[in-house]
Amino acid sequence: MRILVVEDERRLCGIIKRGLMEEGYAVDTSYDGEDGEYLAESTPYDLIVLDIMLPKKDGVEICRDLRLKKVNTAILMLTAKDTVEDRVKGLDAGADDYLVKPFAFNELLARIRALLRRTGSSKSPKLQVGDLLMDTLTREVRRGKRIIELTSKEYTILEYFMRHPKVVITRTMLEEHAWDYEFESMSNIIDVYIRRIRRKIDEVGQDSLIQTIRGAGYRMKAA
Amino acid sequence: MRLVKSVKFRLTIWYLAVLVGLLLLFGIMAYFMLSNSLYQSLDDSLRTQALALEDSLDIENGQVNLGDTEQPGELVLIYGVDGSLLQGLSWGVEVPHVDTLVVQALESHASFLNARTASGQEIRLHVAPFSDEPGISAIVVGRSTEEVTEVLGNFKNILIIAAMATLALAGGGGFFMASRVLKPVERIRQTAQEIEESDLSRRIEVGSEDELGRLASTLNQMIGRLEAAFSRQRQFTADASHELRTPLAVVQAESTLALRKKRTQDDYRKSLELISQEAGHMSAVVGKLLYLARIDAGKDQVKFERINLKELLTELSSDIEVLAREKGVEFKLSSLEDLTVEGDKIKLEQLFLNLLENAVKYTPSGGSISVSIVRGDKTAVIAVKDTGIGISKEHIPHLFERFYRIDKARSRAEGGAGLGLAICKHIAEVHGGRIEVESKIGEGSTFSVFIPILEKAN
Repeated sequence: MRILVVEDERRLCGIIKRGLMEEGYAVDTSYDGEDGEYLAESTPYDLIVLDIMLPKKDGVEICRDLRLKKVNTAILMLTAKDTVEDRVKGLDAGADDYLVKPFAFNELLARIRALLRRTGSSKSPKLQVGDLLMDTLTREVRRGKRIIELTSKEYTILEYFMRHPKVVITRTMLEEHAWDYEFESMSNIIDVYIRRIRRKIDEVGQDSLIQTIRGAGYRMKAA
Repeated sequence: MRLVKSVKFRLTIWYLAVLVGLLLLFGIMAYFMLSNSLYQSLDDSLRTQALALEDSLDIENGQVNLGDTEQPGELVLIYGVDGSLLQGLSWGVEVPHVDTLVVQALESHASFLNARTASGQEIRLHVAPFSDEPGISAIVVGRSTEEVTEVLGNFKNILIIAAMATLALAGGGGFFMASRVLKPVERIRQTAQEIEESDLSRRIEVGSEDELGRLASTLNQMIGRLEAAFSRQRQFTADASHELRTPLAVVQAESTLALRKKRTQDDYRKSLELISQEAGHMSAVVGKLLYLARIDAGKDQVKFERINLKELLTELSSDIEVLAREKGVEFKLSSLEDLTVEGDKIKLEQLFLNLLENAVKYTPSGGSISVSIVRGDKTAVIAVKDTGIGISKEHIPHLFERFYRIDKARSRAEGGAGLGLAICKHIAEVHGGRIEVESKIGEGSTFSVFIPILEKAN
C-alpha cells in the first residue's frame, strides 16, 4: 500500500512518514499544495493524507480538483481546523475522512486501515485467499495453522496481492504500490521479493499461490 | 410618557407654541386695526352728519327746524348757548358726561364718546360746536354702534375659528413632519440595536446626505472599525491556536507513535528530544503571546534609563558573532557613532537581538551582516544590513503584523512564530521611534530602527 502525505509542517510530516513506514506502507511526502497535487495526479496512490492549510494551494481545493480530474484515491484530511463547518467543507470537497490535529497515531493508523478496507474488495480487516489468512490489524499472516513471519516489505507486497486476488499484477503496479519515490527500480528486485514470499507462504508439494503470468506479471491464485 | 419625552412631540409643542404666539399677535393686531377703522368711518359719518345738520338747521324762535336731513334711527341733540337742550331726537339716551362735552363744545372743542341707551344699546356720540346759527351752540349726533360691534364680533369669531383650524392642522402636520423627518433616527436606532458582535458586517442604510445621513455614515464607520477590531481579534485567536496546535500535534503524534511498541533506548531518546524541542518551541510562542497580551492590555512596563547604543550593540554583537561564525556568515560592526538614547535596556536588547538573529537566520553561508549606528535628524538610526535571501515587495507591508510569515514551513522549522517583528515594532514605538525595512529578493535586507537621541544634558 502506497500513501502520499501532504503536510507542510516538516517535523509532523516526518513523524507520520516514519510511523507509516513502520507499518509497512510505502510513503511519499510533499510539503506544499501544488507539489502534492502533482504527485497525487501522477502516481496511483492507495491513500492520501492531506493537510488543509498548505502553502501554494489549500487542501480543500486540492481535494476538489483531484475529484474533478477523476482521481478517486481515498483522501484523509488532516488539519488543525476543527469546526463543524470546516469538517463539512472538507468532506464535501471529496475527502473520505477527517482527522483533527493533534491526533493519536493509533487513530491515524486505524482510520487509514478503514479507508483502505473501504476502497478494497474486502470490508473486513482480515484478508483471506484459500487458507492463507492476513489480519491487517495485528499484521499476523497464517497459512492454515502455520504462522508466517514476513518483513515489512514482504508484508506490503503480499497485502497488495491479497487485496487484489485473481487480478494480474504487473511489476509496475507493485512498484507503484509498495515502494515510494526513493525506490530506484532495479531489474530484478521485485522478482527477488516474490521468490522470498513464495518460499514463506507456499506449502511443499503444492502449486504456488502467486502465479507467474509470462510477459505480464503475477497473479494471486483464487482459492 | 415615552411619547411626551420624544423629540417629535417636543418639537411639535414648540412649533405650536410659536404659532399660537404669532396667531395671537396677528389676530389682536388685525382686530384692533379693523375696529379702529370701523370706528373711524363711523366717526366720519357722524362728523359729516353734524356738518350736514349745520347746513340744514333752521332755528326760529327757539324752535329748531331740522329740515329734511333727519334720518331714522339716529340721535340728534341740539343745545343752546346756555347749555340747555333745545331739541332732542332720541330714544331716551342716558349720556353721563354729555354735559361736560357740551361745555367743551361751547368752547369750540369737538369730541366723540361712547354711551349707552336705556335699553343697553351702545351708541357713538359726536359733540360738535355749532356757531353759524345764532342761538345754537352745540350739536350732538349719535348712531348705534351695533353694526360695528356685529362686524367686529363676526371678525373675532372668524379669527378664532381660523386660528383653531390652523393650530390643529399645523399641530397634526408638524407632528407628521417631525415623525417623517425623525423616522430614519428610529431606523438607525433599530438597526444599531440589532447589530451584534456576530454580524458586524451589517450596515445602517444611509438614505440621504443630510445630518441624519451623516450620522448614519458616521455610525457605519464606527461599526466598520469595530468589525475590523473584532476580526483582528478573531484572526489573532485563530493564529495563536494554530500556532500552538501544530507543535501539540507533533508532540502527540510522536509520543503515541513511540508508545505503539517496544523500542530501543536510542529511539526513545530521539522521540523525547523531538518532544522536548517542540515543548520548548511552544513555551517560546506562549511567552511571546503573553507579552503581546500584556502590551494590548497596556500593562507593559518600561523602565527608561540612559543607554549608550554603541555599548549596547557591542555587548550584543559578541553573542551574534558566535552564531554567525557557526553558519559561516561574516559579522561586522561598521561606523558605530557614540549616541545616547532614553530607553529600556532589556527591551532594546530584545529588539536588536531579534533583528540580528533574523539576519543570521536568513543569510546563507558566505554572506555578511553589518550593524551601524548613524546620527539622523534628532534620531539615532541603527541599521542591521544583511546579504540574505531578501523579502519580496508584497510581503513588506505585512512584515510587522502578528503571525505574518513569508514561508511558514521554513520559518517554523527555524523556530519562528511570526511574532518577533511585531514585538520589535512595538518596542521601537514605545521608545518614540519606528522601524523600517528595505529589501530586495536575492540581495538582502536592511532593517533600520529610529530612536530619538537624548540630547546631552548640560
